Amino acid sequence: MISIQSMQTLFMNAIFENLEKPVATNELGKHLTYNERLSVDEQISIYRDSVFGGLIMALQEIYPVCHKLVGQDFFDFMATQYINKHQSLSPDLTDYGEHLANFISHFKQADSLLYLSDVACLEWAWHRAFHARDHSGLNINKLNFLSEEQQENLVFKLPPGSALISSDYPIHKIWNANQQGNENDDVIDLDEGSVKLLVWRKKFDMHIDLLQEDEWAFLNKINQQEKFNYICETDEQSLDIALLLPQCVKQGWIADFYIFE
Amino acid sequence: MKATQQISGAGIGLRTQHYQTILESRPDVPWFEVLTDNYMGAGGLPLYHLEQVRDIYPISFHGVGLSLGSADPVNLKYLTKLKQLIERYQPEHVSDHLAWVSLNNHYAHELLPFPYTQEALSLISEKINTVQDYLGRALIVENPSTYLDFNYSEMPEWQFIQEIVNKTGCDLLMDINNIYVSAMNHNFNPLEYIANIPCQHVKEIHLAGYEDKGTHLYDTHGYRIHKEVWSLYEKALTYFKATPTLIEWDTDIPDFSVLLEEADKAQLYLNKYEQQEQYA
Repeated sequence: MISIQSMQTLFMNAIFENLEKPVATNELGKHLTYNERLSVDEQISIYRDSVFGGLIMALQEIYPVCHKLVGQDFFDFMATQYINKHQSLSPDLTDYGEHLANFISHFKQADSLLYLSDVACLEWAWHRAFHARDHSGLNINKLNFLSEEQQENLVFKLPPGSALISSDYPIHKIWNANQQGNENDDVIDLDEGSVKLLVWRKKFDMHIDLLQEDEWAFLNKINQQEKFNYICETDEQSLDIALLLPQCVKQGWIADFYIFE
Repeated sequence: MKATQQISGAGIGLRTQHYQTILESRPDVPWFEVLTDNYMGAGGLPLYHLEQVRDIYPISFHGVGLSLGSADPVNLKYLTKLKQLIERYQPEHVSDHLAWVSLNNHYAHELLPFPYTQEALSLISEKINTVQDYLGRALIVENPSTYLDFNYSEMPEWQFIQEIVNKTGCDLLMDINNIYVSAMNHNFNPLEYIANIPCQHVKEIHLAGYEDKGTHLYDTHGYRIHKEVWSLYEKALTYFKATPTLIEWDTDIPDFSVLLEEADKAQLYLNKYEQQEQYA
C-alpha cells in the first residue's frame, strides 16, 4: 500500500510524463486492479486524454483566432507542447494560458507565422478584460473636490483588466477578420506598419482601440501609476497633456483615480 | 434578488450557449444547476448572466475546485471565492465531487480517482468538515465515475460513502449515470450500490449520457441518457424518493430543446414515482 500523497504524485507524473519512458505509469500500474479489457497504460490514458483534452479545449476557447489561423491539428500539437511545459496553477481554468504568447514566440514550428505570438497576446488581453472587475467609469466631478495636496498626489487608473499592446503587425485587423461573420477575401498587408492598441471593456462591450503615439505614451505613464503631477512635469515638452487628458477621459480609457499616500 | 427557494423536480445544467434562450423564452424549468468554477472571475458578462438567471429561477452550485480527494489542504482562496458567490447568489445546494483534481497546487482540472482506504477516509472527512465549517452549511458530495480500481482499496465505494456521511454529516448527490458507468467498468451490481447508500442524505440526482468505447463506458456528458440509466434511475427513486434531478450535458452541447425533452422525461419518472407512492 502507498500513501495518498505518493499515489497522487505517481498519478500526476503518469499523466504528464514522457510516454517514451513511462516510469510513473509502470509504477502506478503495480497498484491497480487487473483489468482484462484494458492495459495499465490504457486505463491511465483515459485520464491522460481527459486532462489534455480539457486543457486544450480551455486554450482553444481563450485563443479562438490563433486556433483558426493555424487549424485544429497544429493548434492541438502546439497546445500539447504548451501544457507539457506550463502547469495550471489555479482552480480557475480561466487563469490558464497566460504564457501562450511568449511560448509561441519561441516555438520553432510557428516561426513562419511572425504575427501569431502578438495575436495570442491580444487574445489573452481580451480574455482578461472580459472577466475583469466591473467599473462604472470616471466620475469627473469628484476631481473638483480634491484639495491642493490631493491634486499633487493624484494617480489616474486605466479600466480594470485593460492592456496596452504594441505589435509590428496589424493584429487588430487580423483579429477582426477572423471573427465570426467578418470573413472576407480582403488582404491584410503585414508590412503596413506597427500598431499600438488598448484592449479594455466598457460595461459589457469589449473594445480594441487603435492608439496614436502620444496617446500610447500618455496611457503608458498612467498604466505605470505615476502621479499625474509628475507626468505633467516630466513630459511637458513631449506630450500635450491639456489635450490628451480630456481626450482619454472622453474615450473612457481613464476609468478611475486614487490619491497616493 | 429572489430569496432562496426549495428545489424540486427535474432541472437542467446552465450552459453559456443557452443564456439567450433561457432569458428570452423563460422556459418552464424548475431550477438550474450552475458550474461554480465558470463564475470565479471578478466581473463581466458571465456574472451578469448568472444574476439574471438567478432572478428568475432557483439555482444550485456544482464545482470541482475543492479537490476533496487531494492530499493538498483545501485551497483557501478558492473556498473564499466560493463563499462570496454563495452569499451573492444564494444557491439552494452546493456540491462538489468525491475525487481529486490537484496536487501540490498543480491543477489537472479533471476528476481523478483514489483508493478507498482509511487514510483517504480521514483525509477527505477532514476536508469536508473544513469546507462545511467555513461555509456554514452542509456540502453535497457526488459519487464519481471511474475507469480504474486500486488493488489496495479497503472497502467498496458505497461503504466509503457511508463512512464519509457518518464522519461529516454531509449530503449526497447521486449520479445515476456514474453508478452505471462504474458498475459496468468494474463489474459490480449497481442496485447493490444504490441499496447501500444512506438515502436520507441524498438531496440531488444527476443524469447524463455516457459513451460506449468498446473496452469501457466513458462518462462523456455528451449524449442523451441511455435506456439502461433511465431504468436504473426509476429503480433508484424507490430508494431516494422524488429527489430533485438534474440533466447534465457538457460536450457537444445541443439545442436547449433537447435538454428540455430529457428533463421532461425525468419529470415523468418523478411524477410516476409520486403517484405510485400515493396509491401504495
